[in-house]
Amino acid sequence: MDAGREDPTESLSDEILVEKSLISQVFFAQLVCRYQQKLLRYIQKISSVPLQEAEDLLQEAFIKAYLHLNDFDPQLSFSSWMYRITRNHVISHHRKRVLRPEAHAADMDDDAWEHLASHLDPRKDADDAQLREAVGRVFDHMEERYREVLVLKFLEEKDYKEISDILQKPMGTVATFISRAKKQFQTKARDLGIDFDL
Amino acid sequence: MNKTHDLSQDVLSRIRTESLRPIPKWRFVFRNVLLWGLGGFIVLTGGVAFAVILHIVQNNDWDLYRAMGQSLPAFVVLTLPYLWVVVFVSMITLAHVHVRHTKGGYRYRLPVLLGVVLAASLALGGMFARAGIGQAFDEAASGRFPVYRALVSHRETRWLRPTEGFLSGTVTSINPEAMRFALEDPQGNAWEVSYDRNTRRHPPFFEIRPSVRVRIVGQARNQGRFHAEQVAPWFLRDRPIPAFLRDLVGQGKKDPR
Repeated sequence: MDAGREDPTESLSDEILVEKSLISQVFFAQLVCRYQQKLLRYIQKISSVPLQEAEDLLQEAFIKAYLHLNDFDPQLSFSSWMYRITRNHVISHHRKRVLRPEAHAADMDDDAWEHLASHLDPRKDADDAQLREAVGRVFDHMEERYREVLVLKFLEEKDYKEISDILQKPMGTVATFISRAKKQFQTKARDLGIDFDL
Repeated sequence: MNKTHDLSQDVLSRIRTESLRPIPKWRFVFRNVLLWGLGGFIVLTGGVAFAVILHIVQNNDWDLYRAMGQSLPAFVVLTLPYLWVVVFVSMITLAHVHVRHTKGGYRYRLPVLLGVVLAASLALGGMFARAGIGQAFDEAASGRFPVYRALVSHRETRWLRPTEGFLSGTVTSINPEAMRFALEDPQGNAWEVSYDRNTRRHPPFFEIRPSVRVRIVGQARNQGRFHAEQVAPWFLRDRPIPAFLRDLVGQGKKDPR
């Protein structure tokens, strides 16, 4: 896409772009543009893969989504559907490599950090870099299922309905997971010597 | 965050070079139809299993178990249709797993999903039982498979012990003046059964007439003779077999009523 010229597809909703992508792949490229940064960050938050591998994984996830466009459920948002495909692809990739996905929360970008920091109430004097590093370590020590709901809730800023659609779990279960995840976060943080409230 | 390059061009170029196309809609529609068909089959099988359980439980010998010298708990444990209970529970579990994997099925919590699946199977099973489908399946299986008779339908065996005082069969003729009736047991043996004013009937208004299948508690006397102390119909709740299942039952049945 040319940076200087306004792209007419930018004003179209995701759902319209999905419909148009079935006719021309160019519209699908617009969807890729919209979501690649968010999803790349998401992959890096839920896995330990380097950037190049994350990009390869995301490219595969987009190709999968393109092939399954006719299976897109309009009751879901495209965003939830794409997050779900990406998550499932990352999990299946890790299963093939017999590796447990590890978070690299310390690598989180400024927006994500600011959002998470607004929910954190550190009870110890610590500077921003120390806190980021501590949060990253806490995330690395958490159970995968709890870490991923915290990532979606506090870093990706998804609501319960979106998290339910991405993880394919009932909303009540998501609420339970978030509550347990917060408790586990506090316990692990305490173990690491930092007192957070999340 | 490291700088990333524009993935859209990579994706677009791969789509073009590999000539990728979205999978046609009909394949997803076909898959969904198959999934719903499988779901329907699972719920239907669960319904049939429950209908057979209802039929077996309703027609168990609740009226005569004491005459067999058994306590109620022992009788229940001995006569529960375990095979059908296993089939029913398996179908409920399968149906739950199935719904969980349909589009949107994940939105419902386990108790809600299990409750709905269970309620659907029970309602369907109740309707099937009233329509005689439970009885038809039990009789067809009993007539065709000796293993089934041994595992599930021991009732026939229970009522084929004339020397111990238990006999069953179909009434072939009746002579009310002489207080006797002729009976053919499931193995094809002919019996002359006598009764008197002290013979108890379950229920009290039960009428002994030709072509009715009965259970009798009494005493075997000479060769081919039996005296009835208690008489009851074979089925406490006999349902007419639906026309479309008559062939299935007819082929398997050894003892037509």
